[in-house]
Amino acid sequence: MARLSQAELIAGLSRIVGAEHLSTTRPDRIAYSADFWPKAQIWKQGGDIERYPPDCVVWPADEAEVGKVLRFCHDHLIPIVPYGGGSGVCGGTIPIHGGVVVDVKRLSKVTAIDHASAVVTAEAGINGQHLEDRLNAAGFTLGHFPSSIMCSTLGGWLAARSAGQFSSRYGKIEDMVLSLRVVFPDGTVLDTSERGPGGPDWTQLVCGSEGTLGIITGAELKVNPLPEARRLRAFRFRHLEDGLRGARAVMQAGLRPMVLRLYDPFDSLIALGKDKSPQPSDRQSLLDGIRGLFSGAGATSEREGLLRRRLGPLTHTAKRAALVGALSAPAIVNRLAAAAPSPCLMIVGFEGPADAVHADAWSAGELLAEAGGVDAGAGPGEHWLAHRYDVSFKQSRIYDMGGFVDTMEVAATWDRLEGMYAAVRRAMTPLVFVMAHFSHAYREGCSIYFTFAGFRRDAARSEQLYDRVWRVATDAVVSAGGTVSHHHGVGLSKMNAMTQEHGHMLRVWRALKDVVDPHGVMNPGKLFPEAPHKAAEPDSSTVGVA
Amino acid sequence: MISPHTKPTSYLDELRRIVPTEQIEPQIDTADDGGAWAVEPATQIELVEVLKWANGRHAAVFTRRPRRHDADLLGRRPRIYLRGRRMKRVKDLDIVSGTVTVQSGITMSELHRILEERSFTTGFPTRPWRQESIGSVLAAALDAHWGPRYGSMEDQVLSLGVVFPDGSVAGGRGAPRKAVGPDFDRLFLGSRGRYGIIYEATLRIYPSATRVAMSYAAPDLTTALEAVRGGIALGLDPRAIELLTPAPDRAWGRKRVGLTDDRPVLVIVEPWGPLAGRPVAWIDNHFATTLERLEPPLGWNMHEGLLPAPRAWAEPVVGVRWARLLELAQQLGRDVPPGLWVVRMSRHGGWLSLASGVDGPSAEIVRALVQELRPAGPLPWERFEDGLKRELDPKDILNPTGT
Ligand SMILES: Cc1cc2nc3c(=O)[nH]c(=O)nc-3n(C[C@H](O)[C@H](O)[C@H](O)COP(=O)(O)OP(=O)(O)OC[C@H]3O[C@@H](n4cnc5c(N)ncnc54)[C@H](O)[C@@H]3O)c2cc1C
Ligand SMILES: Cc1cc2nc3c(=O)[nH]c(=O)nc-3n(C[C@H](O)[C@H](O)[C@H](O)COP(=O)(O)OP(=O)(O)OC[C@H]3O[C@@H](n4cnc5c(N)ncnc54)[C@H](O)[C@@H]3O)c2cc1C
Repeated sequence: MARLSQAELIAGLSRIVGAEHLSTTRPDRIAYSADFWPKAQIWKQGGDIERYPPDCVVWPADEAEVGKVLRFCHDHLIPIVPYGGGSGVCGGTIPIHGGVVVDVKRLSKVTAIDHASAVVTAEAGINGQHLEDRLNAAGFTLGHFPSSIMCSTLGGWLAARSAGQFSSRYGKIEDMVLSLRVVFPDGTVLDTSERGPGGPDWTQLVCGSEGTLGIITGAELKVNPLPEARRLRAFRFRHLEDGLRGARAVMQAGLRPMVLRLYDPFDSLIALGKDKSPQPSDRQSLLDGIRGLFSGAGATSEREGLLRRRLGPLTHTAKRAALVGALSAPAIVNRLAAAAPSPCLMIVGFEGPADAVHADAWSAGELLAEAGGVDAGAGPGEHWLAHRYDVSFKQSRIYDMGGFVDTMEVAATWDRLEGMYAAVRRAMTPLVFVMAHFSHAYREGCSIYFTFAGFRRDAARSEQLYDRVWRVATDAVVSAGGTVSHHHGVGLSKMNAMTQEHGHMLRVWRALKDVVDPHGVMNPGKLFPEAPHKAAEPDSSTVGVA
Repeated sequence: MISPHTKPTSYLDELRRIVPTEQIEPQIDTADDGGAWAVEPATQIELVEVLKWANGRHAAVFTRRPRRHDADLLGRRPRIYLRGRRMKRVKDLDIVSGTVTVQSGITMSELHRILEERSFTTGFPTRPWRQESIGSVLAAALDAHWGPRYGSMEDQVLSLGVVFPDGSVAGGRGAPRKAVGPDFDRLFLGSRGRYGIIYEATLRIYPSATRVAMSYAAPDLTTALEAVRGGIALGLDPRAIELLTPAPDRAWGRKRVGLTDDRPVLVIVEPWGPLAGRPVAWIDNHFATTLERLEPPLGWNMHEGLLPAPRAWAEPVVGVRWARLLELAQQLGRDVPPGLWVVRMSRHGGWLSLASGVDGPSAEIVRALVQELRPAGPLPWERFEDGLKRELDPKDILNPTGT
């Protein structure tokens, strides 16, 4: 098939969405050339600000327009990259083969709220916070609070199997969705609610497909009445294992806390905001320095110290020097952090009908005390709740200083959890500074959220280090029997681990791909390696081809 | 090697090289078909080899019992009827994570017996599927009973091991929740062995407790529904809630549980038991306020004497939201038809069905709703599912199309 020229592409798509809802301007192409994948930030640090620009961006008005855009691209073998909020952290929306970015944010209606059945029907492009606001006004909550709620969309959540901070109570997004509507590249619309008992569950086959099968245009989701009461408590555990035992006891007793987070020793220092234990001053300062990078308020100890003094003037140069100092020797910093005699902090909270909250909080308290937890009052929990969206947005200062920071959220059953934690730390600590918390707890297991920061003197070397860290870390997770992603998805960043993760099950994906996307136009090169359709290298004179 | 004229006797010789003779049982044969055998693989390797053989011979492999017309539809293709009963090992009982990994041929009753010895149970009902293998239960998505807390039957599955029609093997890793692409296991749950054979499953397990269902009688559907809705709003969160009216031919069962003409609607509520969930007294206080408590409390599965046996239940089942359930109750008033069944009730709705052989205006109202909520075919996914079958089983080996 003859490739379309850029002019033909623009003309064809303008006829569908209208010229005002299409852009080929440089700012737009730069803006849509990357999501929040830290590796793309490293590219930018190195001056490469638009490595993979799309040929154009379109903003269709409704499902019918989405269908026509997809059909057009399918007919002309043009790559399509579905785009929600662009808050993905795995490179899922990077147009590595050029083509058309289909931003669905104009599909933003709450179509219906069925009060009697506690079900909301909404379009996929709706911003997460807007959806929650609409539900709150009607007396409901979705119960889905990713840290990115203000900059992500319903469709993106479903496409990447997102988890909110209250997932232990309300589940992940795939537990909330009753059905969805998806448009496949030939324009066919599948409404997965049209399914009786029996037959494969298309909702769960589309959830997590990260734009590689079709574009999700809307969904029906379970909602919950706004909680009548909420109760947060914190516990301190001397050892991480005790905390994990307590967490498991709570979940396996059938309690459903809205939040249950257990911080490892260093993450506890940050979560507590203040380290009460006396420390040699240089160690304290070194830790304060790192802590200052992650916690919004900067170093919280008033004591002077070596690194503290270097951070003292708070000039960019000084901070950068401190960061270089700390992150150039990750093994030492990790050892210092591990040696800090900090207890492990756990935050546990319940919400719902008042009687139930009261009873559950009491039962959880008993179980946690039995596991060795010491009540630390409501303070740390309240603090967490008030600041729970802050941390992610503080990461940019590390990039400012030439370093990088990323997070890895993995999961395993309880029997493998500690082993996985130790294995990942072993793999990462020689390379980067790393800390972790255990959150998103379930009856049979839990997720671990690692945060790591590294530094090299230039972007090329940073990128090498970044790739190496991910490689050793995902290898460690797979060997320890865990899954490499609990909620961020795969995109480009974890693609290499997918063969180990799924083995021959990838045949199902290839079959799905061949059936619903025979031309391989949907988000090519993402999610799984060895796409069945070899994507061609981008060609500068013509638009990207799948 | 592959000859269209190979005789059934040589097929048998070939099969004997894969599995020991005592694991092969010839089925009634006719002169002009390709031969049929029930084969009982004892290991995953044997299972894989049988499938590879079937691919070489263009045989048909079934995961169900023989049916009379199979031979007519398949002509001279040899037929294999797999039996799972030699693949029934409990491979791992992980009491730390609360999971069990079993080979798929184990029957429900055997699995529950083994778990019970360690004071555990599964999230599946025990009695209706006593003799079913876990593989067939999963493949047929028999998700009738489970309520808000255990979730649907699919939620009980942490991961599956599957043999594809060409003999390749895949098994996911068990993690509580994942974001590594679609949930591929869902293709095999409920698709009746169309795309692969489930050879192993990892399931969630729960501490066992004597399971008591509390039962109440309501004068009409509206009262029953309001009590259920109120209970859900209070966060009573029982393990299962079900509404039913006994089928017309179950007068004895109806009398046994204590339903009357004035209070014909049975509400069954199963609390979580002593180890978890709300105290039984909370639940009882709520339901006994507006409904009549039926004494003595009956064991779960009581509805077996009230409705046709589940395996005989051929009527369509549809998911109904609360809004429509309440409308239905209004329309019916006090005239609730017998044989009505609303299961897996949650905050959002339940699954509705009506037994066959029930007549009258109220039955018509229910049937009209069921009809309205049934998806009208042909639906796009049917086309995609046929496409998936062609991709994964190009030779149409496993549970062939149309049989
Ligand atoms: C500060 C910060 C905090 C975060 N915290 C969390 C958190 O707490 N929990 C969590 O789960 N994630 C978190 N994330 C990651 C991210 O927000 C999630 O992955 C989210 O689900 C992405 O939604 P989005 O609308 O931004 O999707 P995008 O980034 O636009 O897209 C993500 C993927 O989905 C595809 N896609 C998007 N929309 C559609 C659609 N309508 N149909 C088909 N495919 C589509 C894209 O092609 C891409 O592959 C965080 C990110 C940031 C930057
Ligand atoms: C509301 C409702 C409730 C019901 N509740 C129940 C209930 O409680 N108990 C009950 O028994 N039935 C129940 N049923 C009936 C049930 O849905 C099925 O109709 C029936 O069990 C299927 O029996 P079968 O003889 O077709 O297949 P079976 O022989 O039971 O096998 C089931 C299917 O699975 C496939 N299969 C078997 N093993 C494997 C394997 N290892 N891998 C892959 N595929 C495999 C077979 O090919 C077959 O298609 C209920 C039905 C309804 C409508």
